[in-house]
Amino acid sequence: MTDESTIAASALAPSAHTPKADCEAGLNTFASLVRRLGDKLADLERAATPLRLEPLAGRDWFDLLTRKLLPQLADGAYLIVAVVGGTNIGKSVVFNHIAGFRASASSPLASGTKHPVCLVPMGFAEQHDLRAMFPAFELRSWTSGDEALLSIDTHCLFWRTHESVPKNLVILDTPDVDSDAPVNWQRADAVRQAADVLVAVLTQQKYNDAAVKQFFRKAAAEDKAAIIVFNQVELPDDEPYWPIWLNTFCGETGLQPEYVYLAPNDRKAAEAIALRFEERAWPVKKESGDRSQESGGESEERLTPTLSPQSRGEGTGNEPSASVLSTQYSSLSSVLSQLRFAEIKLRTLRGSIARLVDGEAGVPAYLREVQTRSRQFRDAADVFASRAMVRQANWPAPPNGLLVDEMWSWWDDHREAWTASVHGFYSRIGRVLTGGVRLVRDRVWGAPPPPLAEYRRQEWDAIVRVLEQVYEQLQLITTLGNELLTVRLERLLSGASCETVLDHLRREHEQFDFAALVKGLVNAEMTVLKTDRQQLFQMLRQADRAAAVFRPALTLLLAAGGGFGADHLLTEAATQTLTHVAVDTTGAAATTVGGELVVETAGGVLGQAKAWLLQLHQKFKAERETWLVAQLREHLLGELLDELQAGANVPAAAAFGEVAAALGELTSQLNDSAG
Amino acid sequence: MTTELAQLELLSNVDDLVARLSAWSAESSAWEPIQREKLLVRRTLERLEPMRARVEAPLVVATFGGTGVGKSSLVNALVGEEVTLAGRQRPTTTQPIVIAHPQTDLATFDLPLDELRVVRRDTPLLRDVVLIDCPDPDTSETETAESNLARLHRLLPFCDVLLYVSTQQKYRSARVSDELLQAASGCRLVFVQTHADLDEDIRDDWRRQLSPKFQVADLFFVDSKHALQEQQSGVRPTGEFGRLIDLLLRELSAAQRVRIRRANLLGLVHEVLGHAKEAISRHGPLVAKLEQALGEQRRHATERMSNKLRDELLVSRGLWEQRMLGQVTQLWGYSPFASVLRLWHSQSSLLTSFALTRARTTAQMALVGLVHGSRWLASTQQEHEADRRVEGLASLGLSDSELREAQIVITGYAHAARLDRPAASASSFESLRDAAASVQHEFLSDASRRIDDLILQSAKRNSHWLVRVTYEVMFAELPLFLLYRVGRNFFYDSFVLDRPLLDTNFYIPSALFLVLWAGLLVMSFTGRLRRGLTRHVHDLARELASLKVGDGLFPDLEQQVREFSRERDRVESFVQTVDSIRDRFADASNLGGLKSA
Repeated sequence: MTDESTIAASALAPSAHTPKADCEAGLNTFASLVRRLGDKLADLERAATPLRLEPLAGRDWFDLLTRKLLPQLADGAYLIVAVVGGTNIGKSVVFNHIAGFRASASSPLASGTKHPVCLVPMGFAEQHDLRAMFPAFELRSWTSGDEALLSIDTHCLFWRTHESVPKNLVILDTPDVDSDAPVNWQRADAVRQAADVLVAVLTQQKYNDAAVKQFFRKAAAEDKAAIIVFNQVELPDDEPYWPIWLNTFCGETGLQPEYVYLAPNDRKAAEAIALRFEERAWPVKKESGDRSQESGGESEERLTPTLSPQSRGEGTGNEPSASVLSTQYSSLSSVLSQLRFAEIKLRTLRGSIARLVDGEAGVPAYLREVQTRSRQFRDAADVFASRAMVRQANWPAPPNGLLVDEMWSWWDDHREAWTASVHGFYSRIGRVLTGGVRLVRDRVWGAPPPPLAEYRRQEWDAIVRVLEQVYEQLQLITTLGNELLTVRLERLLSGASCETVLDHLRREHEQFDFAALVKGLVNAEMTVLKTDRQQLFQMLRQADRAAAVFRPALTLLLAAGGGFGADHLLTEAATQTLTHVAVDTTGAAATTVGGELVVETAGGVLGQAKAWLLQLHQKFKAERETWLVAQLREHLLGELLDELQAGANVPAAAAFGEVAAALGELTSQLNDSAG
Repeated sequence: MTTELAQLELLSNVDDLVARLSAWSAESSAWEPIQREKLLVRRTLERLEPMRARVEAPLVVATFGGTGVGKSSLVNALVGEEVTLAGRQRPTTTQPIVIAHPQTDLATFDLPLDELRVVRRDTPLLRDVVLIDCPDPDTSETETAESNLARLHRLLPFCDVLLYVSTQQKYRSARVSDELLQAASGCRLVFVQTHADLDEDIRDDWRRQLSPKFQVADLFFVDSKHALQEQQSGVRPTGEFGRLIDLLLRELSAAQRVRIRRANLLGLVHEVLGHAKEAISRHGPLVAKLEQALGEQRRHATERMSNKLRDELLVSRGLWEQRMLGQVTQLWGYSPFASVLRLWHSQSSLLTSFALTRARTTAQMALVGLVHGSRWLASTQQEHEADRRVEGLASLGLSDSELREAQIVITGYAHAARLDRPAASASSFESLRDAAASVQHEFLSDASRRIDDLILQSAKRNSHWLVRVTYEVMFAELPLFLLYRVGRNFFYDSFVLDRPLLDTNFYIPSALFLVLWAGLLVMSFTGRLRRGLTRHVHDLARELASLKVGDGLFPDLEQQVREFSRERDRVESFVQTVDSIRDRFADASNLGGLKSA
């Protein structure tokens, strides 16, 4: 292992044009930076779950990160060579020629190879973790070439060691990139992302296909080294045409091949692993191109010396031991062993990092996506921020009877002792005297509905009205066209959800303890009255004393007259009337002017009392409205609002800043090392 | 019947179908998905119009396939000379070529002739067809106006038959297959594998790949170069290419034109209908939910009304008694006890009318009787309309908030079911109130009828001769005795025994006793009438609760739900018609095509 990495490091050194130590340090910084970025991205993705973005896995740059950068920055002392191309154009044939034996089955039927087949040099598996190298695949050891044709759903990678494989190379055959089986494209993409060198197999039928061009355009963007094998060429007829084809291909994809080979259309030779790969110079020089057209058959002799595989293979000690194959077709394998290892490795790693930090296709685009989406979430949340919906409700007047009863009971507790006993005594007498009359009245007209039940009914009426308005507004919002909201609101607006919300609200409303609310409110207000509005309180006490003096006479008089318990009613009626007066006279003004102003302008004690009572009403109303808003939030909008809020907060999360920071460092590191 | 007649009948069936379809698609529907599908059908029918217009013109045959598969070579070989440039440069065909017989009038086809190069040749095949060498669908990554893909798409609507050309390398290319699926609806297909001189025969695998989606009649494996040489040297092409030419000459002859075009038209119609059927059935569950919710609301409303009615009927004992007495007196005619009952009844009628003017509850109103009740309802609807109606509704358990609740829920379901213009039916509260009032009216009419029946039955039961005789006899006893006393006093005691006549000391108590006796009997009788009333009222309420009240609170929506299933049935019947016609067409052709879904 240490052996390998020193080789790698020493190999990397000259190509980076820096002293050896610097280069190692540089790679190490990259490695730690990329690892940090990877970790933070995982954090960010977790934090961004409410935004429901497309998952990171499946994005090209992220797959490059997990499939190439993370494994290979940690242990990159090898080159991955992958044979890639469209379906049924002889990828496996080319692969077998590189391997020197039938490592991957070839078939006349299209879309044959379904899983990548991987050959590693002797001893490679002991020194490297293959599983970490190909995280996208389930690794299986190779037993026969036919396994690659298996039609199973798991992404398998069949591997074996072979003595023909040059040291530090990993060679793969891949599925196609254009057939009607999209799973093949995914597997080919995964191999391409991990690869350093692509052996691109083209034919005259496919070099200009959209799917093929797309695949190689991505490879060019990732700065892969490429060897183009033009397969099934009709020589010498096609000699003038292949440069035109290749020119179109390179122009469309941006791929610049290191080497170009032509393979003749010879099925027998292909089956026998005896194809002749003819090397050609690329780019073709003007005059040599002309000459090759003139002299056709001679071109082979003329071109071979410039990049003779045999001469390159000599003296390296990496001569393939499968020497049974003629040197003519072992050339492809030996040229691989001659690749400028360090330069290519560094180049593809840098290319992948460049994709990662690319403004349009990499992490920055993802960060922008997160920001845009979370802004949409915030905008959507703002729509519900206003409480205007509930304010429009025609809320019923508070249950006066209840308020007044409560006031009396408070008053009873705070009366001067002598008035309290007078009032208490005569109230009891009054109740006894009027009891019979009440009984008759209830029989005749039926018991009057308890004030609370009546108020409850009215309030429920108002709540349903509010709910109706809220739903109308929600419906209006869906027509605004914010897709984010529309999808979620459609869920809220469905009939079943309406039913649930109504049920919840009804239950909450039925269970609400009005008596406690009234008691609390009245107690607080009366205490405030006692302490803060001395004048008013004194006036009321005076009135009470006067009432206590007249009380005995009043009770007896009314009882003798057989009045309808008028005594009890009358004394209470004083405050009741007061309340009604207050509400009736100031109600209209209050809606426009507001309670406080009335308090200021009302002259005299009566005015003050009125204003105070009105204030009590308004407080009660405000309490109830707040309650309704809270209920709506909880039962109707709750999930939605939480979700929107969570989404809006994503860019503020720590992970977002950390990703941005790591990205910035990585970008500047990349620029520094390039500069 | 001759086969020709059968053909004609089939063709007229197709025309009839198209006419019915266009009528259907012109009707508007409140359901958004249905409306969308209708629009789609309308568009398709518009596209079919030219196809119908040029029914007798030569068929348009076009090549279709990936770049480099030899489309142009095939065309050249079919024509017998190099009319279009077939070469190694890719893509070769950028300006599509039309090859037609000199006498074929291309103007009838509406082809975009400014984009095409027209070549005129006189060969037997071209007498029957127009050949187009189309650009490929697989070199363009995006469809811009000048791309090959766009050019191809502009030409496809004019094609009647596609020669789908492929090779060993390309027969499983995803892009070409996807495009073929799009292109094949409305076209007949002929499958051709080229490069027979170089490639291996993959037709079996190809057929396997095609068969899930396409009807594959025959596959050809041709060598276009060789065929062209044969043609040029004046030899009729042999082998597979010969078979291909035979097929084209036989199947695409003038006699087949109408049939092929109708089959294509059916194919398109079938596809669009399949789409419509799927979209509508996908939507079905949502509509079913709405329907269920409507049923639920209706049931709920009826239950509320009948429960409320029951409660009120149970407390309105006085009114019951009244009605029953009235009925009984009618049945009994004139007799002493009946007269007493009538007297009692008329007295309490006075009270009732007083109660009616106060019109406390609708249940009491129902009890008073249908005639009075309807009059009452009508008058209340005229005067103080809103107030009275709301009051009336509330008294039967359908309060405003309840109506609103129902409205919220139903609007939700209608919205989810993509019912257009719910405003018309569900969102206007006024119309909902009207609907509620009419539901209530109907319910009450029903209830009144039943109450009338109940009263009649009860009255009949209590008018049995035994009961009558018993009560008449019992009642008659006291007056008879008094009469006897007075008579004896007058005729016997005063005349014979010379005793004094009875004075007020006798008459007042006896009158009092008479009234008491009558009152006692009336009470006993009314008690008898009331017996079992509670049970009857409960039965009545149960019976009313299970009733289906008219159209419910949302009559428009219920109507629309019915409309939806009617539309679904219609689409289904269209699909069946198309299927049956296609079945009869299919066995007559050796050409391939898109399989029915």
